[in-house]
Amino acid sequence: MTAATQQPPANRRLIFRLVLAVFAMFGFGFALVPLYDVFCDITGLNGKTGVTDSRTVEATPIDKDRWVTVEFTGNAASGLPWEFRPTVAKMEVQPGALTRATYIARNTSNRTVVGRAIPSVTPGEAAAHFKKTECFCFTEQYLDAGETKEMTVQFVVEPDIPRSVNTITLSYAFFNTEKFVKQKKITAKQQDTKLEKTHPGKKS
Amino acid sequence: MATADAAHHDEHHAHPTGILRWITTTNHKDIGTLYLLFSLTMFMVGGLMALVIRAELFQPGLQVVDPHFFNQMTTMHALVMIFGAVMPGFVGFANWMLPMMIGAPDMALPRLNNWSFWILPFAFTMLLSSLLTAGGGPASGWTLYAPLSIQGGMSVDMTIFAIHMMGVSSILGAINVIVTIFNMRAPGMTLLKMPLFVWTWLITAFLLIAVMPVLAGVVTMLLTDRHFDTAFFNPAGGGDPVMFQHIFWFFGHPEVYILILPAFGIISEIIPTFSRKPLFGYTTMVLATAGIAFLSFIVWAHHMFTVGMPLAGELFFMYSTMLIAVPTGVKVFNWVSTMWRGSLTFETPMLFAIAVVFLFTIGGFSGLMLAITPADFQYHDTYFVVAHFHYVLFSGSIMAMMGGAYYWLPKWTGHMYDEKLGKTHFWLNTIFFNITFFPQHFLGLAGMPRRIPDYALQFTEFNVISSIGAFGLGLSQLLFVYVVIKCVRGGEKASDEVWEQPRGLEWTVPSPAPYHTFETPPRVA
Amino acid sequence: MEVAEGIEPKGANYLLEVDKPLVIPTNRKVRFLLTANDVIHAWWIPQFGTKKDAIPGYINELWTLVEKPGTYRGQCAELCGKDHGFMPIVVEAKSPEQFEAWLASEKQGQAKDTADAAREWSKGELLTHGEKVYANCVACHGADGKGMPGAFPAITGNPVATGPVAAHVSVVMNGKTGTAMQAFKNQLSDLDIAAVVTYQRNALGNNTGDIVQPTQVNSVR
Repeated sequence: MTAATQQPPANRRLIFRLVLAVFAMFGFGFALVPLYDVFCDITGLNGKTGVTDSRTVEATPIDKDRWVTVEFTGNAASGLPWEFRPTVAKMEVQPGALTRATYIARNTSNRTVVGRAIPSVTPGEAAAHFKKTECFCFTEQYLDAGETKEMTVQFVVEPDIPRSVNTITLSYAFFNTEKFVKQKKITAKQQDTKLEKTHPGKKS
Repeated sequence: MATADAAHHDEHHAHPTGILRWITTTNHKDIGTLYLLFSLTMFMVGGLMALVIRAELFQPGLQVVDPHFFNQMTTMHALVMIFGAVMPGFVGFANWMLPMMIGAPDMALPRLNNWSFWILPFAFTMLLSSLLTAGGGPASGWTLYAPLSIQGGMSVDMTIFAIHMMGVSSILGAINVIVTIFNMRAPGMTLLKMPLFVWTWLITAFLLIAVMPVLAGVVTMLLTDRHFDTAFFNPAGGGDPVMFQHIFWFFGHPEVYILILPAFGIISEIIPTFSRKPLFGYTTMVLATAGIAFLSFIVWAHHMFTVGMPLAGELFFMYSTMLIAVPTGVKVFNWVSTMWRGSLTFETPMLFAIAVVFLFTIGGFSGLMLAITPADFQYHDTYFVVAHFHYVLFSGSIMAMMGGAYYWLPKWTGHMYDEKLGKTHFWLNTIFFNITFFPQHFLGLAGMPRRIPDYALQFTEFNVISSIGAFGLGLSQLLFVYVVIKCVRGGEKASDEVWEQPRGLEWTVPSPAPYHTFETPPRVA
Repeated sequence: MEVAEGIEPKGANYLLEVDKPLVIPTNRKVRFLLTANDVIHAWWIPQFGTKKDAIPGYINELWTLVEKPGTYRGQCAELCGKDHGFMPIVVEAKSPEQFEAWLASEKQGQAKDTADAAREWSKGELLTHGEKVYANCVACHGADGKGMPGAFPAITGNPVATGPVAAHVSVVMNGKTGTAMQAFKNQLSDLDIAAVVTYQRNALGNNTGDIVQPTQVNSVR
């Protein structure tokens, strides 16, 4: 004898709809996760940057009259025993021109460690116009004990970047991602994970 | 309606007595009493935690507790007050009053009603016992911001489960309220004849159904991030800690209105009675409530201006937040207009109602200040915010509930409360409230961040004043408990109407209200 | 801690003093880049009239233009854990000339630090210095190294502090993911880290006899 069986039909219909709404909203909470990513990509919220391919870049004209300063910074988060820094602090680029920059990473521990770099660009209004065609942040990076590696990022500042932006800062935070990567992949090491060409991950 | 009545009738015969009566009860008045007592208990528990906080902040330096325990206290104080005192308190009022106000014999789903109450004691036992685990209770603030909350110990998991249980309880309660209001109204009680308390609760119930599941979702994500290697909020796995704040405040801002709309309803019942005039602008009141509820879904990011967002976002959230002042202003205007040229008397409920209108408006204005994005960069996470939300939560929700309790106590118990003690309680409460929280505005403007156990010397004087006020405020609530107990045990017999020609069906039944009311629905003209 | 507990008197700038203030020039627009290592913090100097969150994995910016030379004090404004109340920020604004002079003297000081780090230190010297550096650890691990059971582990008898030296140094430098143990490699010098590790291994009830030299720390940086 449940409460529902005794309910008049009007109640039952209403309860059914309300319960449905509850589950729909629970689902909506999770749907906000991909929605948030889309929103960030469009607006550059949180300095999330986009990806493009080199063909599109070649097709866009270079703005010869304008120079934008791009600064580089990076840090290895706690839990990642790496030394990580850009090779140059900043460079002048012309919007539309494909540019290459490098970072140096060194594993200071005595074991193979896997990490992943998370890019972030400030100011926010620049982030949406800062596109990468190639980046070490697209994939997991493996460094053997004591290994040093140069890591490359290739990017373009789109010509439609607002006039008010003169300086853009590109930052990478390198995180230890051992717990997200299957253990056997770490032991199989680098062969198949050497910087593959543009294979954009979910976040880039 | 017929079957609901039939279901109701067989309860007449076998009444369990003693403790079993309370455990098995499906009577809306019994459950309402349980909710109100639970709320009062949690109010005292949360208040004690607040006093630990204020004792530590009485002087600069660390005297009473260590910083880790201090953080547990700020976290627990908020969780207990929001989910334990204010929300169940309003559900208690809804249980007691909704059926009597719309001429229904009981809530539509009495067994569900029993359930939704009895989940709560278990949820709060779980939450409070987390203080006893190794490493203490949750210490990341009630907002549980990732990644700080991901670091915490087992207590965070217990908090998450407790939040799930409270969420289930609130959702069941909300479903019950909506079904009751839609399907159980007496003949002639059209939607636009319903008392305003019923309206505000109807809208609150829809807010609960919309956002409690989102809270459940976001704490579930937190749980899987903590234990199952997902990365919703962990940047290492491609997540984003800021996303937690977005989802949390998508729940959090409507939650703010869940905590205040029923208070608006109570005030809208009290003021007409003691002004001896009908409520001014009834329809605009209903529309304003609905307007506030709608706006609450599009303002959430004003809680997080400092995380950095595009200018367009800042402008949007600033203006939408300011827009809330319009329907709220309509409400305040209507309350004042109701009093205008009324023949006013100032019994305790009316004193509370007027104080709420006045003090809540102060909280509303400081809210407007916080809405201005560039100003918020300065005010954010300071004591100014603490002062603001206590002006809307304490002198809004809590004091409205106290006023409501004095207003309906004679109907519940059949006795008049002690008017003299009631007024004493009002004045002590209101004066000490202002001594406690008004100086906190200045502390915030002077640069004191919130949630710190120790502070720089320039903040000393105002903190001393605030702490003294807090202890006075805490002690004056004991008087409230005494007045309630005294009223339950005896006192001058209350008439059926209690007050002078109050409006509303609840005043047509005897005092105290019999166990079963409106078994034959009244006819509303 | 003695000051907070009232054993020692509180100075005028109690809780608002740092070892090394941030020095900026006046009358020049200064842009700050913020990020965090473990949890969200917020950078706030009330007199600058703005604050911004520092979010792990992401970068945020804010700017200021200070006209009056002087000392500006602020605090972390986003609850970041147990020691949220003890995260002061001090900005020293100097006139452009003084700023240049300061810059030059800093460069000289750095050369001396490098020399310090290169030489061999005795156990006694390391312990004396290490006790001072240990002040960074007291808040969680306690002045006696007993920690806070359940929340923060003890140093005394801890397998990290009594096990292999390299692992101990690594925890101090890189922190421990998913716990409140932060990375100190950017905050402490080679000498500081060597001294505090030596101190933790030979005091607070531990007695491993290990000595860690600054050069050893430098080699794993």
